[in-house]
Amino acid sequence: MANTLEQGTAAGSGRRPGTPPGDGGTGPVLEITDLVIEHRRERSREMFRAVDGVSLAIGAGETVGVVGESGSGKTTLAMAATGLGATGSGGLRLLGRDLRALRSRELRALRPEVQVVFQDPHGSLDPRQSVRSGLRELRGLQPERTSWIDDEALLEQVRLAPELLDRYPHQLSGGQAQRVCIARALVMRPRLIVADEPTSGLDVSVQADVLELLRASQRTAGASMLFISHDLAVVRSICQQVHVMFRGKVVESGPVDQVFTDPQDPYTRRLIEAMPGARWRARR
Amino acid sequence: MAAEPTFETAPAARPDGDLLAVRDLTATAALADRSLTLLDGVSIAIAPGEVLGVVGESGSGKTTLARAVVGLLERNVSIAGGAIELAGETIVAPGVGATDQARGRRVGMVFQGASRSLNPLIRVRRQLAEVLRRHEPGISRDDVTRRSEDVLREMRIEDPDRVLDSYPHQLSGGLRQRVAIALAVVTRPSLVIADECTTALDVTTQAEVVRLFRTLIDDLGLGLLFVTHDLMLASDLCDRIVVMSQGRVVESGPTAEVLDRPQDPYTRRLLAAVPTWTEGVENPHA
Ligand SMILES: Nc1ncnc2c1ncn2[C@@H]1O[C@H](COP(=O)(O)OP(=O)(O)OP(=O)(O)O)[C@@H](O)[C@H]1O
Ligand SMILES: Nc1ncnc2c1ncn2[C@@H]1O[C@H](COP(=O)(O)OP(=O)(O)OP(=O)(O)O)[C@@H](O)[C@H]1O
Ligand SMILES: [Mg+2]
Ligand SMILES: [Mg+2]
Repeated sequence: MANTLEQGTAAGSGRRPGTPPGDGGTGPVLEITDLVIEHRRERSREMFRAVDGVSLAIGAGETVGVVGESGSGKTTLAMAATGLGATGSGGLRLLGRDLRALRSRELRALRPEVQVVFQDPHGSLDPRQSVRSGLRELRGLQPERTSWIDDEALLEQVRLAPELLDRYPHQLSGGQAQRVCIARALVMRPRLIVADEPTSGLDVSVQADVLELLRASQRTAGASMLFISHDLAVVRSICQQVHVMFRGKVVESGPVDQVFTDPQDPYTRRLIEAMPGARWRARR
Repeated sequence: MAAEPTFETAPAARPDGDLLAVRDLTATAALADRSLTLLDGVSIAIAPGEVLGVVGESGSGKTTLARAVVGLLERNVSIAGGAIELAGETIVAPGVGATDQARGRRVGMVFQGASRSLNPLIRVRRQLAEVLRRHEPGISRDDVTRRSEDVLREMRIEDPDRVLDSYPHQLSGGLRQRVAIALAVVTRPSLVIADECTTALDVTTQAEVVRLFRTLIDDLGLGLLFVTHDLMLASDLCDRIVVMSQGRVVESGPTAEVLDRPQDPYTRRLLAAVPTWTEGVENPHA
């Protein structure tokens, strides 16, 4: 087999897990304090708070989950955290730097360290580019950083056949497009992966492999992850900490097992009760 | 109103009363250097008031099957064999196909990935209005507004007005997905094809959407083709399940039977990989 993610990240980067260069690697990778982000209501002057006073931190090598109601501000939070969306007000430190104080050149230098896997895979791939030419473009931006693995081996990591390299996005199934997005994030060996529903289009057996792959990137490269998902079982299996969001606010936070076995907030309880599969469990 | 399409071969009488019957369907895709079989002799049937779950491997052909039913295959994909009948009328066969307005009125489709169901350049209000007007050309402006608001409320959207005035990119993933479902059900079609239509919904909203589907099924006899990766959800909603792998149906039957006594090795593997809430959570950091 060609290069694997584990070998590639460890050998290629020469940095010790959990101690990335740049800021000494001691502080949190992402630190958000009392973040408020407002959106304007269409056809009115009114603003509303999509994110309303959220605080969270992600340490090096840590995976933090965010679950919550649809429309509760998870994606808005993720976009702010990566400097890709409105940053609002409140504390926002990425890799030890105040995100709002960064000049655009500095922000561009940070870009490869933070990779985002968006909620809508087909919508986030360029429809005019084959998988291969999309990867070529990424590699052109960061030749050294991405040289640890070739295209075929990269696709194999996300359980895709190399023949898909020559496909265009509309010629991929939903789950294949999603895995291409994950591969595009991993090739950069980022220090923070922000993944918005990254496995929602995958059948459970492929999902298990992709989750294992994400865990591996965390173990070997010390990558941290902000993991947004509606699948509580997946969050419980991959995250250490979880934050539960409801209407722009974090209503409950803690270690996954604690939050999911002994939920304190009524909304968290409702979420757990509404998990599908009641009939399934009843028969087991 | 558009005339019903006519076909050279008259549809045979339907003894079994299936709403949708897909018979031995084969679909191929033309690539630069070769052709690829996406569906390989797939047969399914849905009766009015029935929910058929389609589960299976990523890339096994679920979306291709769903798109074939509504006649919206990618340009390089074509039907090489078999037929699809809707209420006894052949709507897809080799050489038959392309857009069909009658089918548009009777079949609602929710595409995988809301970006494929929604037009990014048009506000939700106009998208819903267009669907309603196409279906009922004489509908009044007030009725359009009322039914648009009602269907969004059915989707548990609390402020339908704001959503109606928004462009898709101003909505969260789950709101977009619910708008896509609303577009598919607002005209009360007899068949809905839903391709991974709950992936962006939190479980409480998911339960609400499932409840809405149940109401339409029980009250209006809606038939539902429900493509999903979520076996738990399938076990809650579906009457019968087909399992697909590599373009073929490898197993089918009543939901409980398929999930409790899977015969096919692929189905067994799939079920073994379901992350269970209590044990299967193997967390190396815990
Ligand atoms: N660009 C925008 N302009 C106006 N409103 C917006 C914009 N983007 C998001 N919103 C609104 O802000 C709220 C929070 O959206 P966000 O996408 O963060 O939710 P989410 O938690 O990710 O939801 P989901 O689980 O459905 O994806 C929603 O009501 C959404 O409609
Ligand atoms: N236009 C196309 N040209 C070539 N191959 C295609 C095309 N569309 C789909 N395919 C291939 O056909 C197979 C079936 O795709 P389809 O989208 O039907 O899968 P699916 O079961 O819906 O998967 P998923 O669960 O990942 O959405 C996949 O291997 C895909 O790569
Ligand atoms: Mg979102
Ligand atoms: Mg699909």
